[in-house]
Amino acid sequence: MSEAFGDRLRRLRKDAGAGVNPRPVGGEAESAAPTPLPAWFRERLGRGRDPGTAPATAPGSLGEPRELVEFRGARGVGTARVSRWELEHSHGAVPLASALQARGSDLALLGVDARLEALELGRALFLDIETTGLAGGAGTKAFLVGLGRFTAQGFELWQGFLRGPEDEAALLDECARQVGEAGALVSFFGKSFDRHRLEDKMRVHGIAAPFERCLHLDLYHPCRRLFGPGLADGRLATMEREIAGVERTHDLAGAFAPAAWYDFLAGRPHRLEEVFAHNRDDILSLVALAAELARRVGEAEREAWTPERALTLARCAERLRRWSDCRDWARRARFARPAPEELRGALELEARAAESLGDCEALAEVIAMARAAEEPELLARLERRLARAVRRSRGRAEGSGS
Amino acid sequence: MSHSRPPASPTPEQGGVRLARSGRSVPELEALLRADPTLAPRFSHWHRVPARAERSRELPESLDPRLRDVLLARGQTRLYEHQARAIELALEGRDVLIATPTASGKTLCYVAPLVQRLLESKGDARAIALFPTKALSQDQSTGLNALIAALGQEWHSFTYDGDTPPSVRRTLRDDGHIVLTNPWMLHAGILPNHAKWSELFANLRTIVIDEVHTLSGVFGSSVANVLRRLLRIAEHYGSRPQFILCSATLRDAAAHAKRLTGRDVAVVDEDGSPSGERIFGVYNPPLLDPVAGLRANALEEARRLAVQLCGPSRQAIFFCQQRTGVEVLTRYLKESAAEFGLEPDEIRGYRGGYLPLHRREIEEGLRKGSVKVVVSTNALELGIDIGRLDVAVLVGYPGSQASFWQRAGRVGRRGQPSLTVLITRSDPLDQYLSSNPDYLFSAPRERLGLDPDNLVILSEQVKCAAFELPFRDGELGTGSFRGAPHVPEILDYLSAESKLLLRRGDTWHWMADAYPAQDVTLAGGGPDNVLILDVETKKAIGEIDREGSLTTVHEGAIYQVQGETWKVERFDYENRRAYVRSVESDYFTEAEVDTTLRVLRLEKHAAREREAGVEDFAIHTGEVHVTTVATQYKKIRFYTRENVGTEAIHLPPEELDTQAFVLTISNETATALGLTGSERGAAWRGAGGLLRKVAPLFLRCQPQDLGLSTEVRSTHFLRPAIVLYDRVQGGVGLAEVLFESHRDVLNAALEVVTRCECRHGCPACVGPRAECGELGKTATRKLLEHLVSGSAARRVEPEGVA
Ligand SMILES: [Zn+2]
Repeated sequence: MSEAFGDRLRRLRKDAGAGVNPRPVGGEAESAAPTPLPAWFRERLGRGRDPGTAPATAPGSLGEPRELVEFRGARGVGTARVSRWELEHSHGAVPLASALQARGSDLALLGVDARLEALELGRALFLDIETTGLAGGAGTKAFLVGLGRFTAQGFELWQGFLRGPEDEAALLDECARQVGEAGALVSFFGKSFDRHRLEDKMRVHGIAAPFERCLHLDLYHPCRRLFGPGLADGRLATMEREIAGVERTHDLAGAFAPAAWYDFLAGRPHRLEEVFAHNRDDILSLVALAAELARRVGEAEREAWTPERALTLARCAERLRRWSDCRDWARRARFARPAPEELRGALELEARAAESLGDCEALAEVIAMARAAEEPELLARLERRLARAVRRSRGRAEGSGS
Repeated sequence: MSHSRPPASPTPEQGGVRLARSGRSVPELEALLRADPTLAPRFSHWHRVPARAERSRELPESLDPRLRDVLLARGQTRLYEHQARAIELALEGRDVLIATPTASGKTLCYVAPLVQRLLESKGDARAIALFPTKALSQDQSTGLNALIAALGQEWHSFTYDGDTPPSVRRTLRDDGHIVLTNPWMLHAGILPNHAKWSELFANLRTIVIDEVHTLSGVFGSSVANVLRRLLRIAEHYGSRPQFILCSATLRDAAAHAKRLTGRDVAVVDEDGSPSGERIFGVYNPPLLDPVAGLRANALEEARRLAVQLCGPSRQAIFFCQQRTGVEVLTRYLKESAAEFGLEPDEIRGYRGGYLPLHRREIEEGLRKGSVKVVVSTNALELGIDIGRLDVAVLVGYPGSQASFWQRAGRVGRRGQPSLTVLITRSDPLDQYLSSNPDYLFSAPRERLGLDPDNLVILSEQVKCAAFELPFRDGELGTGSFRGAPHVPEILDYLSAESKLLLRRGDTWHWMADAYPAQDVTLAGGGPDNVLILDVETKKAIGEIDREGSLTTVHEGAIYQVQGETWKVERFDYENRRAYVRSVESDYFTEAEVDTTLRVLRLEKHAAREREAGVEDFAIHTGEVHVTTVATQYKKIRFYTRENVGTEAIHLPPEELDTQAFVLTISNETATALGLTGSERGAAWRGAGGLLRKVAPLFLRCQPQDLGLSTEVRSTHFLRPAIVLYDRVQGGVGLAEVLFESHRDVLNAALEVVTRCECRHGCPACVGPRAECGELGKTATRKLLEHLVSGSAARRVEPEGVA
């Protein structure tokens, strides 16, 4: 049987006029060898082929991206580009330095994750990766890994880049080292995407993945919760415009990123420069978004809050059982001219928080509001809460008195 | 894991019929049938397999004491010889194939070693078990978890299939010790995402594959490659798992297992389980029209037999070939329930389309004895536990010896006689068996076509493998794909032409934004199949393969499903979709195709001479290129067969490159046999069609897996030629098997024509006279007689090939 196959392939190749079993010397994809296999076979083999691997239509650059420097680690040599900004630099409407003011408690509230109280943006890594596809699976590679961080002098962006697939282990190992050292990450949708792409590839290469014990603020969720309603979509580009006033002018759509890298590998003109820029802007936007969200929460009293957003934050505080924050945000919602529905929600939350705090005065105030709003059902529920709170506070007073 | 169950406890008697029918034993049933003046003559054959004593021994020494204690506590103090042998071999680390009939306790053969690996490794070892159906894997999971619980361990076995919710998948990946899944999930879900399963692969010790005899043809050849991928990934994570395979009795079991796994596998195939006497009857329905060769409908005959066979004190199973058969026969039998002394509820249908819960309930009813009669498709052929029943009726030969025995294996309680009746239909295969029942009871005769190196299948799978891990030069000589020829060429092709891979240094890397497993099916042709959609409901009503689509769903065709007629309004050839509308049509359509076959190259060659230097006939294997064009279709009235119009079909030709078996006779022989003029064409068509129909006796395939081209004067051979080709692009080894078994096939074909009682040809032999002509039958017979008489063809070593 096997003999027959040998003959067969040879014949098929001869038919097409190619030599017998030519073996390529390098990986030169542009080889214009005559088609050695019949049409049905080519068609089948080519199925799933990426249209993006066709030569780039737009003018691009040739050769390696500029300003790459080599790094050396336990798993070999890789390359990266390092860029720096002064602390005074603004991205959109937000000075990068303002991220350093962010308080952990506000970040924890935004991320609805109590562990994030320990998060300092000044020590965290801002992570964003570019991959060869969104489908996932073992064949998908992260060919550009952006890690931004604050330094003593300003803000520094490290963009680890795969010159070829053979550098993958070196790049992943270096990422694992940096992430492990920082122990804290900020990303946009990174808990669902970036982290898993890297983690999967690290497992394949036998590199210990550091993510499990890492603090991770994924900005996608707070952005979505607070600003999602009313926006067309939840993409980073939409959020950064809405929240941080960032306007990108020449952004390369993310879908072209794989093609740019394939063009580069094939020695064709490529648009990797735009991919680097896109990744850089994404990372700066992470800083701006984190800084801006934390600032608004931190300076809550000076901000104008829609009842909807204030209520969202009250619910976040509720999930964290941060009752005084919950009461304050519910109150902010109450003062922000809520619709009847929102008012009910706000009063209920405020009452819940007040009860948990044992603050009978605040509860009484909520009850007065409910009465004024002519909400009989709500009123009845709140009165039961008050009765419970009063009983409990009596119990406490007696307990401590005896 | 139990070998058998006690007979069903008798249910309270309900009246006269019930009382009268209870207590009739299987031998009494046989006597009754043999004495019945109408039925007795229709039994062309009776066969008895005497009761077989149990061959068993103590639990193997090498069994872990903890496992031994659990088995002893369950009352399992001895094992059947084959179980003990298989477990010992597996514990020695050998790859093992257990090829014994259904219900011989095969489960324990893999469960014991697999659990022992877990014990030895303190829970670190992992296992993957592949089952051909979801129902089977769920069945096994329950059994495994019970054993693990009895061992007091916290290990988990899970089924992982399309129904597994995403939230559970996560836990499964991290904590599943034994993953029960199927080849499709392994191919498209697990292997491409191996990083998520790295725990499993790093500690993978055992791969279990159940029902290995189902792995043939395109599917089997694909699965063999999926296993290559699996082993490759396991090796990457540092593990070398052992195989434990289970199957029905197989011909060339070791060779098949080797082709499938690439390893030398120890075969255990001597069944040590006891069996009561087994009685077999072959029932040939009466000939209604000797001229047309038409026999009484097999379902009707099944009902007739049921009157004798069904009753309250025993359990019977009826196997039908088609789902509709199940529905029809179930209805028939329920209507006659009172005649059998049964309640309609004690008679149940069972097939794949039923909801799992419904199926579980019927299985339970069969085990408990509350269901007395079940009518099933092949859904109950595989290892689902329904206990053992008393009587099996096979409505039609299931197409393979393995299936026949799997089905017959459903009956026979410990120490009690059982009865199996095969009802043969008006079909050459069935009629052959009716006159040659020995075929059924002899050692397996079919060879499984399996070719993991089929260029198309291999290259698709190499593509998937390259996505999973980069290919290195070094692994081509040592890795799991080492046995496969041309992997370097395929890799080069995938990089240079398809641009899916990039070669850097000694390594090929995946280089595309795609997930190839999504586009690669295991059953072959999948994405090429044409979906048939109802324009009104937008729902799919059927599916048809690429070649078949030319003649059945061209625009204007009348597509028939279960007696309903649909008119094809539009055939979107590019997107593989046909749009149909339900119509009341008084005609059906018949398309004409033009098939041109070009011989590209001949490989094996054997011939016989009439006299020195004059060839008599010759056989070859070789590669052919087949072009099929649909030219026109006729509208033909139902019943009258009046032609009411002819229209053209406009579709591009279908091209197929594949392997073929060729039979030619010399012009001298044709003349000597008097096969001239129209006779020659008729003989040729008749013989070709018949060979194709009886081929499944010797190679595991369906007649429709083989394409046929007969030429009175072949342009290549300049003489009459019959070409039977593999209808899979690239071929999966059927031609090869035909070449090896051609004499058996010719003999069987001759047997069928000789024995057939029709006058001028009928569906049970060479086809109706309308197709094969007045002389078709006699000419075919003359030809076949000549071919099988005298010496066999001798191999001719290749000199200058064409
Ligand atoms: Zn006949």
